[in-house]
Amino acid sequence: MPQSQSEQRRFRRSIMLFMALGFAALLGVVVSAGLLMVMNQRESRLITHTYKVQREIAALRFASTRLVAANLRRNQELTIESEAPLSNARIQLDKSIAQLSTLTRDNPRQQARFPLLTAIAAQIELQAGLPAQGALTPDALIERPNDLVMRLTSAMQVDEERLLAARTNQQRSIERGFYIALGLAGLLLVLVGTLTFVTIYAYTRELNASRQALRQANTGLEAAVQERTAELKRANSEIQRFAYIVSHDLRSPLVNVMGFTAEMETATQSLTGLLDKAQEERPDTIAPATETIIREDLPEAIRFIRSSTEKMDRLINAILRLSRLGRREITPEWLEMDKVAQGVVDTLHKRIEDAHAHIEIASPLPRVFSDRMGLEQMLANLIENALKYGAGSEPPDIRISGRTAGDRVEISVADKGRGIDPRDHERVFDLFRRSGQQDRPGEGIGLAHVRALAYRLDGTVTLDSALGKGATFTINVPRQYSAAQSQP
Amino acid sequence: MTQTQHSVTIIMIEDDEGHALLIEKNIRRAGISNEIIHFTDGHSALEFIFNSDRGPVRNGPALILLDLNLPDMSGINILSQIKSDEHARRTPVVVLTTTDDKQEIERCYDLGCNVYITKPVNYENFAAAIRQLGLFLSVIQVPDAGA
Repeated sequence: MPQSQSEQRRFRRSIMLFMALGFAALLGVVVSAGLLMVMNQRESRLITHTYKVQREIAALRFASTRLVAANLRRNQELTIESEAPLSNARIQLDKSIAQLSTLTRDNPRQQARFPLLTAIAAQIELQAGLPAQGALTPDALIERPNDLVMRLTSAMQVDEERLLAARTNQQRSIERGFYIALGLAGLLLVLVGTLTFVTIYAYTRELNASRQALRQANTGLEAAVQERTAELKRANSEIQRFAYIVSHDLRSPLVNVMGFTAEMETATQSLTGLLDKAQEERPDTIAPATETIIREDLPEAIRFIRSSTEKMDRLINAILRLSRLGRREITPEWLEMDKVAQGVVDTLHKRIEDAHAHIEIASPLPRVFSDRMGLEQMLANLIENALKYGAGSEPPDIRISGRTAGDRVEISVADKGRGIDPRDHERVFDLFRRSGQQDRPGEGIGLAHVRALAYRLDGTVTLDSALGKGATFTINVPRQYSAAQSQP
Repeated sequence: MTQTQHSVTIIMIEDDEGHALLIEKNIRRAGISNEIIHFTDGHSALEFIFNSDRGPVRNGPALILLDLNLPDMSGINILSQIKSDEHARRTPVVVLTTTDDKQEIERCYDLGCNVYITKPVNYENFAAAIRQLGLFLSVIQVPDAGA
């Protein structure tokens, strides 16, 4: 069963839609994955940042504690530490403050703590006997500077941790959204995939079914063609047999009609003799009507019966000839059409001379592998027609030409005679049909015969003509007749 | 009609009465007065030829005029029966029919037909053919039996 146009369109549309959906879902997955990765990186960066801050705070506390402790010990004059570790602690303290300031640059709350932190650090360093270069001596010293450092840094730590927690939370919720989107996209992909699969599967199955149906139809068609050909052959041979039997059986009564007409003629002759004698001897006994009957009516009736019967016999013979044509064996051979045409012209020699006709054979005509008798009869019929239907008193001027067209050969017989009305171009090839002025003897058999012959040789015969413009009949036959291609 | 034991009997097998009459008239016109026995079907004709006391198998010479189209059997069949019989096959057979089909004529001659005459619609030819048949008849007649 062939698929309808709309079904195909629907299939194409749904496949397109599924593919678009699938691509969209895939794109969504890729984008989500990319964004998730970026998020992850940002989160780990934030965590690292927080660790760094915590580490720096620890270092700062340690340095500050050491410096303060050194100051205490010096005040109590317990021990004098060597200068080097202390100066290291001081450097660490400065560095840590600077680092922290850089790390929390984007956080104004943290930044606000740095001036105080820097000032306290300066005091601690001063009290530790290691003032920063260019550092001013503070106006007032605060007590227990290390506690203040501890409190400040604790606050910083808390701030930093809160910030991290908030950022992480936000990140988590965004991530959750992406996971949901990812899941949905995945679901969509699976759905689209399934739908596509189902659609394609159904479509393929339908396609297979229609292909199967097509193959079956093809096989059926071949069988139908074969059957029809056999039927045609049978019908054809039946028609031929029919034509043969009909014409054969029609002739039988005609023999009687003609025979007894002749008997009547003989009888009429005796009657005429009697009449002559009676008129001579006893003219008064003959009524004038009797004389008319014997001398005129009877011979006239006999003449009509005879001419009609003869015509009927010719018609029957024509049918018989046509039916035999179909039964005749074709014996193809290589023919020089020049010689064939010349042969035909020679056999028509007498007729051509009587008509004072001029016939030209345009040599060279092509060679043909076909049936000699068929081609001869076709040419003879066409030439005879051309001789018969000249233009007025002009002597007929006939030209026979030919050409090869692919695997076919054309032989044309052209005259400059009276021509045939285009309306009758098909009709003239019918049996017993003629065209134009009926002033020449004929039964309308010749061209029907030519056409039957042409068909028999797998050919055609065509006509190109107009009234008063002459006529060109063209026989078209295969260059090489093949019995296999021909219908019996 | 004088009947001598040597005179040739003409056996005409022809279903068309008109044809039969025309043939007979022309035979008579040709001056042949032999007895003509007419059959309109094949079976009675074969019965006469093979079994009758007057028939050619048991009795004297005969000539058979045979039409090929008969209502009960084909003339070809009759011809082959006559020509395959030991006694009857010497009897000359003239096939008289309406067809001039070449294959059919050849087939008749192959089966042993002596003369094949087409019944032409042109009556003059037909009469001439029959008259020639008369000549043929006089040739096959036994010399001492005058026609």
